Amino acid sequence: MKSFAEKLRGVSPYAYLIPCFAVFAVFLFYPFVKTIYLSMFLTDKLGNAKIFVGAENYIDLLTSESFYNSIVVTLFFVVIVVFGSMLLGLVAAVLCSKTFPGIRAFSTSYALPMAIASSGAAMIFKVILNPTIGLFNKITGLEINWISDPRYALICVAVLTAWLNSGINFLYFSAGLGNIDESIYERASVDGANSVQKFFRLTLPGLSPIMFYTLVVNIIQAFQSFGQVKILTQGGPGESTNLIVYSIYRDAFFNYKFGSAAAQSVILFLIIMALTLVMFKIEKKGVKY
Amino acid sequence: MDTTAALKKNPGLTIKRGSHTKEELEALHRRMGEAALRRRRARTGVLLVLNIFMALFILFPLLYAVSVSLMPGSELFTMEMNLLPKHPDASNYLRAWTQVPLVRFILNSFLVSGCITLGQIITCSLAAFAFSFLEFKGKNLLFMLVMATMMVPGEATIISNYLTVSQMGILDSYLVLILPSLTSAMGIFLFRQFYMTFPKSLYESAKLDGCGNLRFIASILLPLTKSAIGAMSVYTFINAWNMYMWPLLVTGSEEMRTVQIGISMLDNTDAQSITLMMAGVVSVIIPSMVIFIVGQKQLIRGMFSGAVKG
Amino acid sequence: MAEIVLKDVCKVFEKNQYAVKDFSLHIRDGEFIVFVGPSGCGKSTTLRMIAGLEDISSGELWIDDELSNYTEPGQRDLSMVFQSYALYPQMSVYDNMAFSLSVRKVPKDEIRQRVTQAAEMLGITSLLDRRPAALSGGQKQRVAIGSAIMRKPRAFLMDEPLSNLDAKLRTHMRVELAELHHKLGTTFIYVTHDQVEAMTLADRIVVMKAGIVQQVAAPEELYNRPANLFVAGFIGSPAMNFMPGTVRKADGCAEFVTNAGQVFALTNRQADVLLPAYAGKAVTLGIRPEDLTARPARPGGHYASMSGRVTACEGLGHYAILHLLNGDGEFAARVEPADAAEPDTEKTLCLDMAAAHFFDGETGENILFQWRNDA
Repeated sequence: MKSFAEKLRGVSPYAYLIPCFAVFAVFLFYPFVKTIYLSMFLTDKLGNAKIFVGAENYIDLLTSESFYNSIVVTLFFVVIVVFGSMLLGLVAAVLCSKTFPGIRAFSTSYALPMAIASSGAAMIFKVILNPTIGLFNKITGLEINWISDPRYALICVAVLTAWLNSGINFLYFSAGLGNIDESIYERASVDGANSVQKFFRLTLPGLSPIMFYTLVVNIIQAFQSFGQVKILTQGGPGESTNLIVYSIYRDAFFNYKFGSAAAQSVILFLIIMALTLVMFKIEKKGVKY
Repeated sequence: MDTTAALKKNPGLTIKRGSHTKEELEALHRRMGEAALRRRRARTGVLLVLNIFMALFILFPLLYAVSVSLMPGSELFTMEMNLLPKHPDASNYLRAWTQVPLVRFILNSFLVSGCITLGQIITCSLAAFAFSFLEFKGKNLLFMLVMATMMVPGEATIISNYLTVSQMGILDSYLVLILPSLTSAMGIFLFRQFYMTFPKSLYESAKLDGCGNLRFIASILLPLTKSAIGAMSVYTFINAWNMYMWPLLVTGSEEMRTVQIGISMLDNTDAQSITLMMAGVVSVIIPSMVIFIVGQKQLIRGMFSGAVKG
Repeated sequence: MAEIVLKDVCKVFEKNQYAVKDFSLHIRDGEFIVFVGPSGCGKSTTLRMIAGLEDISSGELWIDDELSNYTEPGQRDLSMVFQSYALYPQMSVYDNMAFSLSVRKVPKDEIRQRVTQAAEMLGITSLLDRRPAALSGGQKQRVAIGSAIMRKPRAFLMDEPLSNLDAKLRTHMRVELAELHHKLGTTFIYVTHDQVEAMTLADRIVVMKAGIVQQVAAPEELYNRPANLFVAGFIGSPAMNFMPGTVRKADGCAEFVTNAGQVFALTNRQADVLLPAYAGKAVTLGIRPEDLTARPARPGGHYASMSGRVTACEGLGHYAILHLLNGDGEFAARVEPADAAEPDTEKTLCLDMAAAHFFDGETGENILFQWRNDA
């Protein structure tokens, strides 16, 4: 036992990285490279690369209307989700920024959606949006088949996703508000600012560092929404909710077009990376703190 | 603002020094004291009302799910407004728990999420230890590599991962559910961020006392990072519990299903059993919700104490 | 330009806990007033009540003869410098300084002119485009002061503005503040726990302890005629030496006998006041280190001798501080460098009885307070 301990003591620093890098290697680096490799092949039903086609998968995608639709739908979806979830989180965080009786219970409620699974949430929304017995139609008096109507299906999935993601945004914004030095509000009071001025000139700018971080995280997260689409709409009606991630899933596991799905994965990665980099660029210029 | 406005509206209230009686002053004090109290109460009241609205709005889907899960099937299928069950009963829960092996699903999910959480804490704390206390060649490069993995969406690698595990022949097992999630860049980052707040001398003096690296991690570092571990555990457990796409792909048999895939089985049965479905959904949401509520304080403290400061 | 009058102002937190009790003070226009006291004595709370950041529980606050208890902070036309500077982190220095004017919708041109003017006065013109995070402590301090003087308020309130600066910069800024007060002629109310700041800056000092005003007086008066034991011990460095004991009459003259048995003869005037009222009662003698010297400073003065074992000697160039120990405790004495002594040696010192203070053993009040006034 002692010699074992001795051995461990002298163990190289790299040994501490082995467990995590082993997992990364097998389930992240290798598949990442393999995905790029696959994206240049036609595959058989088991996903074995068979025929090298070069960039053909990409060309097919970029010329296919369906893929463009996916991209447009995804972007539209991401915009609604990010805007909606950040707004919900911000409003909740502002409401909870001053103490009042029961604040603990309220802040738990606002953060709670982050604990809810997309699948469970989607099933609940399915009931609420049900055209005949759904509560939403009953409350609004409308008679819309929300999920089966291509005009509304995407918005429904987006609202659901915004709700799911709002919990963590609440936490981010609460932390951001907590980081604002209380004394600047006091100085502003003495300087004669009213509460509206304080909110727009101190609170919002004070949130800008965390706001930026939250924006990046939200965009990345929104791009990856899957469970709610699978359960609520399955990409339909038509292809109105066929987000890229869902399209990848469908092409790979229903159509067995692994090559094309891999190419879509690569494109998804590129889009997310490009957006992240652009935002960090903007951040360096714009948001200062 | 309000008081000034009040003072302006009632010029009699503006008191000049030397030109007032004691009674006037007392009356003013009384009036203003009451006004201040009223204002404070009004402010708290408005805040409370707004918060109640917001909380109802946020919690509405959950509350409604609970409500529906307690309704007998017949009550749901009306054209009337039916927010709350008229004759609540738990029969939906009984049926949901017997109709599909919910217990098995929940146990599966607990096992998988528990292993993932434990695994991540071990691998991430080891790696973060090396990144923050040890010196070695390529340290910065490797750390950048870890951080870069955060940018790769899981969906971009999921196909290849699926093909890998199916070639390994471990589809439809606990192993396949656990293995790919055994580490996370986020976890390494969080722990490293925590370790960086400790002075290097902490490590050096332990070294001088003849304390090995592993013992240093186990007996000094881990106890000091309880809040980071707490945050990590809650976050990882909930995410693992809520995993959807990966279990969907790699599990086929009923015995291996996790809750999220399992409850979709209720969705597929027939349209008449919506109440049943809601009972199932509520049943599987409760564990993750309880863990979240219990661990929320830890989670927030761990996530935001230096880890994420913008 | 403002005259600020506080009358019986109290701040009560829950359950009758007074943070400030019966604070009454008449601050004259253009006066530099310093609130000083140990932390938690209520000095900041008082300042914040004047600013309107805290409610006044009872009492009256008059600003320029107008009752201001209920005026919103923004309407009081005061400006405040905070200990943490409270600069708006996302705004440039220029915007920080312009803030109080821009929320009042002052025309842009006028703002520009006034910012430029204030920046020049404080020597921060080159910093106007920077953000607070890029400034050093001293620069932040200047910006905070600059923001405060922009509006030409009726009075400046400063809450420990120099406490986050290092010692050298603090001395420097102290001088600048004094100059600024001289230049602007506006009322300053300044809170600090540092007695040196208080002594050097103030026209009048308000010494507070546990929410209660101990004494309000000009610096020299505070030093020479402390109202009680607390003020005497708080003002002055090294602090005044105290010896508890009693007063007694002995063959024609009066003596002060310490608890350890040292005997000091009182001056006639001291005897006149002390003997009738305090014979046999507990009295504390206080003597400043500079009145405890190696040899008589004035020929023919009334000196008593006192000896002790030297525990330490701090040479400061033009004088030395001797630390001694005897049966009555520890003492500090200020002596000529030539009279410095090695530790563990015995040293006899001259105590200038005419400069001694006597405090009531129970209340701590300065017994000779009135008498000294007459002298």
